[in-house]
Amino acid sequence: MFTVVKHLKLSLLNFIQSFKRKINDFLFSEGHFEKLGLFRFVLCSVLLYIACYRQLNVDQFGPDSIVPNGQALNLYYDYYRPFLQLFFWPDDMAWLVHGIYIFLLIIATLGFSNRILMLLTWIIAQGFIQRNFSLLFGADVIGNLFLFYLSFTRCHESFTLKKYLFRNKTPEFNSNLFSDQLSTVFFRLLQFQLVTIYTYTGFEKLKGNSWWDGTALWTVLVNPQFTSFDLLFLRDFPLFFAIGTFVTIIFEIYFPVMVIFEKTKYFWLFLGIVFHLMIGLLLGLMPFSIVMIATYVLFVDKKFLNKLFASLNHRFF
Amino acid sequence: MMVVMGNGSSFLGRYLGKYYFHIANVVGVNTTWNFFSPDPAHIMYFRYVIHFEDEYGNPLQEAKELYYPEQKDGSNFAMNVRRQNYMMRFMAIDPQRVGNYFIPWICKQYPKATRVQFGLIVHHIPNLDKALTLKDTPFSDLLTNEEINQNVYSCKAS
Repeated sequence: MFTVVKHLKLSLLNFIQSFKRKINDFLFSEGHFEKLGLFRFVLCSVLLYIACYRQLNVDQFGPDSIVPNGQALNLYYDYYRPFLQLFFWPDDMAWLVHGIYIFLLIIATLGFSNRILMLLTWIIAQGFIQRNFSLLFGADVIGNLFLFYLSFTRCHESFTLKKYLFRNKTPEFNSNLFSDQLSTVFFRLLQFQLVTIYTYTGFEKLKGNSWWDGTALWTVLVNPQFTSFDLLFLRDFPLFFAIGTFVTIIFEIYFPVMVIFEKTKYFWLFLGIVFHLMIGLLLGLMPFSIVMIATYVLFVDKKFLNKLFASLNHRFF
Repeated sequence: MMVVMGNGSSFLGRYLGKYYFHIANVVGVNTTWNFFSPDPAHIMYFRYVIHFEDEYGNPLQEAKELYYPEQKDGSNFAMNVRRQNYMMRFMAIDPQRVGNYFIPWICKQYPKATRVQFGLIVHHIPNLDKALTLKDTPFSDLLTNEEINQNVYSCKAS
């Protein structure tokens, strides 16, 4: 009896140790500086593009906004209302603060930013989201959430102008450094956030009759407020809508499982690229699509990435 | 936190959320990820008529009938114009938002306005079966139109 207990105890200890080792490897075996650098470059470029366009709507964040300053947070339902107001600037300075935000994004895109500046960029962006919550694109919300995670990482070590000009070497990952540990933890959080978004997006669609019926895509693609193309001719190919609707749901719900396994990962990411490019082209949501596609870089292997950018290697990376 | 907050209004969200939903709301994690769901929206826009009257209700000038967004058919796809579309949909979800935000904003733009007659126009897209059966009918004839959430708002109250 004593031997059995002792054996069980030993097995349990071994299991815990091996589990701890696996978690440790998962979190701290690699720095992912190249992936984070490339993701930062694409994300900040897209946010910059969106922000430049948003400068045309800047009146909606100022004294003439549909949402008066004092009521901005009332626009949220109770459960979603932030307790901290991040728009710290007066309304008549909105254009200037938005200009500063654009400048900070330029710096971040080129790789001259750092964690504190990135966090400041995020605070301003989140402040604008809070100031007029009604004026949002999906790309604003998702892009800004990714910017938050990214601001804790060492995403300025790769894919920067400085690196391109001076050919600096990408620093080695040091798992004993708190800064590096924080970076890889937030790298994993970024991955986790993405798969969570996909799963819930799929689940939410299952609540809708038209998604379950296989005709949701029809309603989207013939709504002139959603698409700039006349796609009515597609009703001659009704199966397109049914297959497209179900593929969308399957792709989103199974994303977390499929990207875990090496055998299915690249196929699923390829499917995602096609899926998002279709959304981008047909629904005119290219910035959103590029942000989503850019996140895939967080899932590819370093070797694959190096091969893909072989010509740029050692300059940007 | 991010897993629970994806469905924050569920029991788990309500139960656990109290410990961290303050921070989750600031960061933006407490979001329902519902793109084109549960069902994609139909064609919609605001129609509003601005009245300018004296204290006895006599018109001082001709009433103005306007739409929001101006391009009600969505023909202008510029990003800054599409934001107006998104704003309209956000306001349309909850009629209270129309009264609390949209109407005072319109009244502010027209200081002489006394009341605003409001309606949400919805063009329902026919289901795919109907569109296939009535293939030769022009698409615009297949749309079923209605005006909902009609109300008259006073500009004096805002």
